[in-house]
Amino acid sequence: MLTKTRVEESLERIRAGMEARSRRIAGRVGEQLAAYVSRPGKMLRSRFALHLGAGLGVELSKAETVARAMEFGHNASLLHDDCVDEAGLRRGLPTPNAVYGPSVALLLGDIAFTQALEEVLDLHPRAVERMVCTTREMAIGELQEEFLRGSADVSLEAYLGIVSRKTGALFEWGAAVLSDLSPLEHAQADPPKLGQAVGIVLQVVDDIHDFTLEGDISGKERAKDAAMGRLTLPGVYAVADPASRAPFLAIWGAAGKEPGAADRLAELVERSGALAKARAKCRAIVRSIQALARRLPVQAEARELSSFLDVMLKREF
Amino acid sequence: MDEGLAGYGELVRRAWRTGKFLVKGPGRPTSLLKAAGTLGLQPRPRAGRGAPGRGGEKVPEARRSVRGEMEEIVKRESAEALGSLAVHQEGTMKLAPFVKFREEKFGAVLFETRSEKVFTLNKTGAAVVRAILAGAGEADLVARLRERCEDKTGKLEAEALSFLKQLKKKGLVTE
Repeated sequence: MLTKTRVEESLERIRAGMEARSRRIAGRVGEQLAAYVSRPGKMLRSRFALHLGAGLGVELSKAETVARAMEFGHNASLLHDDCVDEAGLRRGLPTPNAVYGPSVALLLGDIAFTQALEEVLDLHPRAVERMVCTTREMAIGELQEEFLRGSADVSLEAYLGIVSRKTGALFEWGAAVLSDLSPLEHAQADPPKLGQAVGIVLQVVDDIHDFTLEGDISGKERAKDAAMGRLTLPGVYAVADPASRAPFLAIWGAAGKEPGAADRLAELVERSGALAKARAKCRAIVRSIQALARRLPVQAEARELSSFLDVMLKREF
Repeated sequence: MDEGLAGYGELVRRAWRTGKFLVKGPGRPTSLLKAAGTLGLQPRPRAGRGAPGRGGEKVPEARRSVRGEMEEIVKRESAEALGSLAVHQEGTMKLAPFVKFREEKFGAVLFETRSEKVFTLNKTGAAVVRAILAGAGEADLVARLRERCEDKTGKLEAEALSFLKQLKKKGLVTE
């Protein structure tokens, strides 16, 4: 059974493995830059990989390798995202694009992607091929989001489609590889779909936090998405409601330009019920994931995965 | 190649050969990128912060035309998440495990990710799968399709049910 202590021990090994790779790069690019490539955050992707791997009966060391690759892939996308967003803070620390400029951060992101690929070279014959497709989907999702910046014409389905690519794809990758590695029958649990849904729900939670959390808790600027002109799920609901559409769009247009607009926007999505709808959507997605998790072959571990999702849903960090 | 590009190419080759990435201009040394501007290649203007197009801001033409295309693409691909988010209920159908669906300009593709089999669908086939993802059961599938598609030939019901039979036979859709 993957107890809390064993999860923490695994996370420690995953961190150590990432640092070991970082040390190898440090010899070529210096310690300060190498640290950005391997610095983990909340390690939600690792926790997901460990719990799902246990539910599928996958050898722990292999699940840890999948987790490390997911963390590197995630770091790569964050390094690139922060250039796109011109973000100054990430995980409470100055971003490399802010410190050294975007060209350095972009190259560090490229290195992080290669680290993800190197992790899984010998894991499973299809792991690298799947990662290539995943990277493509993540980049396409980001591009789609980039070109819809400023557009209020984003339906719920369209929003979820973009999120399924930019965030869901990496979880889908982890789940697909764990499925490849599983020695047990598990087709009905459909791990890739389960993984994609987990990615979507974590992104929606982040979208909600963008409105609700202060910068010193989330580690990034408040209402950053709105300031960048991105319509995330609470916004999609606010725009779809005739009562809140006009006031939302008026404040949304000012976000990032007028002081206090972020707070007024957060207040509006709360008051209009848009945040409540987004939270309800999250709960519905989690229920669909838990239905799949109940079909995993190692049921005691599947329950741990369900508990992990409950915690993710309620987290305020 | 126009004069500006030829000059820029020469500049790059020289910099590569000599290792000097600063170019002496009329005044103080300037960067290669800035020098390229003087040779007819203007660096792309830096995009402003915030959302292009909001609050009456002018969106550059090139960006606007891509955005229009992107809105269409995103709309077309919007069913992709439904396959993983649909909560299965009694009497409805769903995509079989490991089957992915993506709508394309010509219709759609179904992709069985374990066997790596790809099935291409025409627009009617795509509409059938989309209705299934939206929660249609066999009993109300045709009615749902009629809400979205015109039945000019009067063959919609027969074609849709025949296609559904094939999907089930190939194990792409399950009850």
